[in-house]
Amino acid sequence: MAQSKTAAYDYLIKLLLIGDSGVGKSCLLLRFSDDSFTPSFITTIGIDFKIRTIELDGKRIKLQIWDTAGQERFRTITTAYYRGAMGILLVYDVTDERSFNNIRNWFSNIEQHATEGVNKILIGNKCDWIEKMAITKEQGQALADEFGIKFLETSAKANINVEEAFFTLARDIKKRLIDTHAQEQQNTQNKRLELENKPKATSVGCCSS
Amino acid sequence: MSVDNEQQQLQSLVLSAELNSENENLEQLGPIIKSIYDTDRQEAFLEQLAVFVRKKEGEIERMCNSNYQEFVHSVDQLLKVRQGTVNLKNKIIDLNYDVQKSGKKVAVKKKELIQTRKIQKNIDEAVETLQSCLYILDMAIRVDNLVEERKYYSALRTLEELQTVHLRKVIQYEFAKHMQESIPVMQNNVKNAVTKEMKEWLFRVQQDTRQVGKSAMEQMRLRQERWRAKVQQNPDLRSVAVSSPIEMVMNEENEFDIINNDQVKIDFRPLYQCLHIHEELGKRSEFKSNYEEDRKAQANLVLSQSFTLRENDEKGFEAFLQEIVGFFVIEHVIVHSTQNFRSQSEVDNLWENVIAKVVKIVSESLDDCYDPILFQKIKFCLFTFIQTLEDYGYNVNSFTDLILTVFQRYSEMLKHKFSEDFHQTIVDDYYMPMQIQYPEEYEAVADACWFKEGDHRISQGYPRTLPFSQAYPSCCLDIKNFISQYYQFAEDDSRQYSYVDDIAKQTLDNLLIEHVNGVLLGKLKSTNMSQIVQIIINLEYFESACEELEKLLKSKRSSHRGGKIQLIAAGEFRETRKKAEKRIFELVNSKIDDFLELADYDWTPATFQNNPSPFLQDMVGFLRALIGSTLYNLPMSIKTFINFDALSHLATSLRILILSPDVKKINSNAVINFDADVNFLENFARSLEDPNIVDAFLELRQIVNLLNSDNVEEYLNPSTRNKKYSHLKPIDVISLFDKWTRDQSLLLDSEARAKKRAMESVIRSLRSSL
Repeated sequence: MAQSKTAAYDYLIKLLLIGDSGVGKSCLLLRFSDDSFTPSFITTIGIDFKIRTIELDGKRIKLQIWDTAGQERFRTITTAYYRGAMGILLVYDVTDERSFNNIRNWFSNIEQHATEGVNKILIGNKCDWIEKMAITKEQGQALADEFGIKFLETSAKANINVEEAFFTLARDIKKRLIDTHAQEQQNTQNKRLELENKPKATSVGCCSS
Repeated sequence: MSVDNEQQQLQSLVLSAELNSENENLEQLGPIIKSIYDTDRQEAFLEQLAVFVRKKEGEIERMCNSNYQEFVHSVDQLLKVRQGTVNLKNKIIDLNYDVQKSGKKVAVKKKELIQTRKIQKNIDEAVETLQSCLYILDMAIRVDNLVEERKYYSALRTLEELQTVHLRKVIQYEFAKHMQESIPVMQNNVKNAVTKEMKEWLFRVQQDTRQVGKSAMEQMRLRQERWRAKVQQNPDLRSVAVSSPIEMVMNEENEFDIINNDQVKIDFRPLYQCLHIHEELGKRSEFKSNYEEDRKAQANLVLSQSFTLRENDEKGFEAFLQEIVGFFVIEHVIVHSTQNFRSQSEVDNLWENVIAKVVKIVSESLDDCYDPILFQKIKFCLFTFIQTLEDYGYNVNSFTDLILTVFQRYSEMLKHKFSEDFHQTIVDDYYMPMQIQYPEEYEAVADACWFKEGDHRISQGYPRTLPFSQAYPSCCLDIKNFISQYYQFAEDDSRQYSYVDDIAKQTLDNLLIEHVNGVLLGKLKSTNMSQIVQIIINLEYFESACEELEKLLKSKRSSHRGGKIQLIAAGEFRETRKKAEKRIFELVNSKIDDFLELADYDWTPATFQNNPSPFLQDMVGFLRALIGSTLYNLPMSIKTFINFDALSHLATSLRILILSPDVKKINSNAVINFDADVNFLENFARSLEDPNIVDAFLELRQIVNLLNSDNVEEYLNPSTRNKKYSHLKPIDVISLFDKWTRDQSLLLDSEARAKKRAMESVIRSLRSSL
C-alpha cells in the first residue's frame, strides 16, 4: 500500500488488453504478473486488472494492466476503460484467423474510445502452437506496419516474448509521456494524459464515467 | 375067584395090551400084575399068555397064507423097482456131474459180474461227483457271465449259493477247496466290476455336470423371470424372495426334473447298484469313503479350472459356476435318493470347502476386472448361482461376503469411472452460466438436475442463461447414471441386502465429496473471481441437489428399510461454499489493496481538489463493474456481504492510512480532500441500495467531521461524543489532533489558531484521562 509520501513507485502506467474472446489475454496477464500459466477455458467476465511494478531507467513504474472480457456482451463495461489507458495491447490468436481479422474492429474501437495518441502494440499470442498456426508472423507484421504500431508474437504458455511485449509498450509510454513531458509538467491539465506523476500527485480516473 | 373069571380078566388084559400097546394102558397093567402076584397065579397067567400068543400066531399064519401071492408079486415088483432105482441113480450121478461142470462156469461169470458191478458203481459215483463239480464250475462261469451281463447282484447270490450249498457237498475235494478259497476273489471281482462301472458312471456324470448346472441355473433364471412378472402384476409380492415358501407355492411351474430332461439324462443305477453290492459284501463304509474321495477329487478338478475375467471372458466363469452347481445338484439327488450313504453333513463339508475356494477364486479374479458390463454379467451369474444352490438346500450365507466384495469392487469401479468423468467435467468446465439455445435442451438440462425456475423466468426466450455452469447438470447426469447403474447392478439381489444401500450412499457421498466438492475446493485457489462466483453458485445447486439425491436413493433402496438417508456431501458443499464466499471476500479485498497501493495522499497540499482521488474513482468504477458483471449472478445475500466486507476493508485501510504514524502532519486542505473521498465512497455505498452498507464509512465520516468541526471540544462532551463521534476512540483523536496541530507550514488565521488551541486542550484533557 502506498504510504503517504513514501509511496513505493515513481510512475503509474495503465495498460489495457483487448482482443477476441479466447485469444489468451488473461493468460498473458497472468504470465506477466504472476509468472504462471494454467490452461483453462474460463472467460473473463467484465473486467479485471493486475498490478506489477517494473523498473525502467532507474524509475519504479507501476503497471496497472486492465484485462477486458473479449465477449461482446461486456462491451459497454470494457469500452469505459479505453479512455484511461495509456497503452493498449491488441491481442489475436495466431491459430485463429477470425481473431486476427477482428483486430481491425478492435483498432477502430480504440480510435473511437481511447485517448488520442495512446500507445499500441499488436500481439500474436499462442505462437508456441506451430502446427495450428493460421496467421504467419509476416501477416502480423504487415498489419502492425499498416497501423504503424509494433508487433510481437508471444506465448503465455511457453513464456515467449511476454515480458518484451509489456516492457516494450511501457517503455514507449514512458518515452511519450514522462520523458517528453518531464520538463513541461504544467501540461497536466490535459486530462487525457493519465499519468500519475507522483511529486505532482496528479492523476485522472480512467473510469470516471 | 373062579377060573373063568380069571380067564376073562386075562384076556381083556392081553387085548387091552394089544390095543393099547403104546398107550397108558400100562398103568392099568401094574395093578393087574400086582393082583396076579397077590393071588399067586403067575402060572395061570403065563399059560393064558402062551394061549394068547399061539392064537395070534395062528392068525398071522392064516393072514400070511392068504397074502402070499401078493407078497411075491410085491417082491418082484420091488426087485424091479430096485433095478430102476439103480438106473435112476446112475442117471442122477451123470446129471450131477454135468451140473457140477456148468455150475463152475456160472460161478466164474458171477465173480466177473460182481467185479464189473463194483466198477460200475464206482463209475456212477465218479460221474455223480463230476457232475456236481461241473455244476459248481458252471455256476462259477455263470457268475462271470452275470458279472459280464452286469447282473452283479445275481452274481453275488450265485456265489453265495455256490458257497453255502454246492461247494459244501464236495468240500472233500481239493478242487472244491480251491474253489472255496477263490470265492472271496470272485466276490472281489464282482465288486471291482461294479466299482468300475460306477467309476465310469462317475466319469460320465462329471461330463454331464456342467449341463446339469447349466439347466439348473437356466431353470432358476426362468423362475426368477416368472416371479418378476408375477411381482409386476402384484406389487405386494415385492418383498417375497424367490425360493421362499410363498414363491414356491405361487410359482407352480417350477417342476423340472433336473437329472432327466431333454438336455441331460442321468441314470443313477450304477451308483445304487454299486452301493447295493458293497452293502451285500458288507463293505458299505469302504465304498462310502471311496466315493467320498472320488467326489472330493472331482470337486477339486472343478475348482482347478482356470478362467480369467480380464478379457471379457465371462464364459469361462459361467462354466465354472455351472460345474459347481451341477456337482452339488447331483450330490443333492444322491443324498435324497440313498440311505446311510451320503450324509448331508459330508456334502455340507465338501460344500463349505468348495465355497471357500470359490469365494477366493472369484474375489481374486475380480481384481482384474474393470469392465462394468462384464461385472454385471458376473454378478448376474453369481446371483443365479447362489439362488440355485440355495434352492437345493445349500447354505449360501458364506456368499454374503463375496457379494459384498462384488458390490464394493463394482462400486469402486463405478466410482473410479465416474470420478474420472466428474473430474474431467469439472476441469473442462468454463465456469460460465450455462447458455441454452433450444427448449428441448432446456428440458433436458432441467430434467437432469432438478432445475426449477420461478414462473417469471419460464417465459424467457431463447437463448437463455441458467445460473449454473455446464458442470452442474453434467455432474447430475453422471450421478444419476451412477445410481442407476449401481442399482441396476443390485436389482437381481432378491435378498435386498442392506449393504447395497449403504454402499450406494457411501460411494455417492464419496464421489460428491472427493470428486466434486474436493475438486471445487481445490479450484478456490484460483484468483479468477468469475470462476469462484460460478463455483459458489454451482455449490449451492449441488447442495440442494443432495436433497434430490437423497430422495432418489430412498426411492431406489430396498423397500423394507426405513429411516433417513442423509448425504454428508450436502454439509461439505455448504462448507466449501462458505470457503468460496470467503475467498471472494479475499479476492475483492486484494483488489482493493491493489488500488490502495496506488493511493497517493498528500496530507499537506497547498490547495484542495474538488474531485475525489483518482485511485478511488478507479476503484469504485471497478467495483461497480465487478458488482454489475462478475458478481452479478451471486445471491443477493452474498452480494450484500461482499459489498459490506469490501467497503469495511476499504474504510479500515483508509483509517489506517490517515492514522498511520508515518503521516506526521495533516492540514485542512488534506482534510477537505479526504472529506471529498469519504463523501464519494459514501455516495457509492448508498448507491448500492443497502442502507446498512454506508455504515462502513461511519468512523471515517466522524474523523472528517471532527477534524472539520468548528468546535472540536465538543468531543469532550459525553453526550455529543456519543451522538456524533461514537466510533472515535480518544487515542485516535489524540493522534489526529497531533497531526493537525503539528502542521506549522500553514499560515494560521485566527480561526485556525483557535481551533489549534481547542485541539491542544482536547489532547491534554484526553491524555490526562487515559
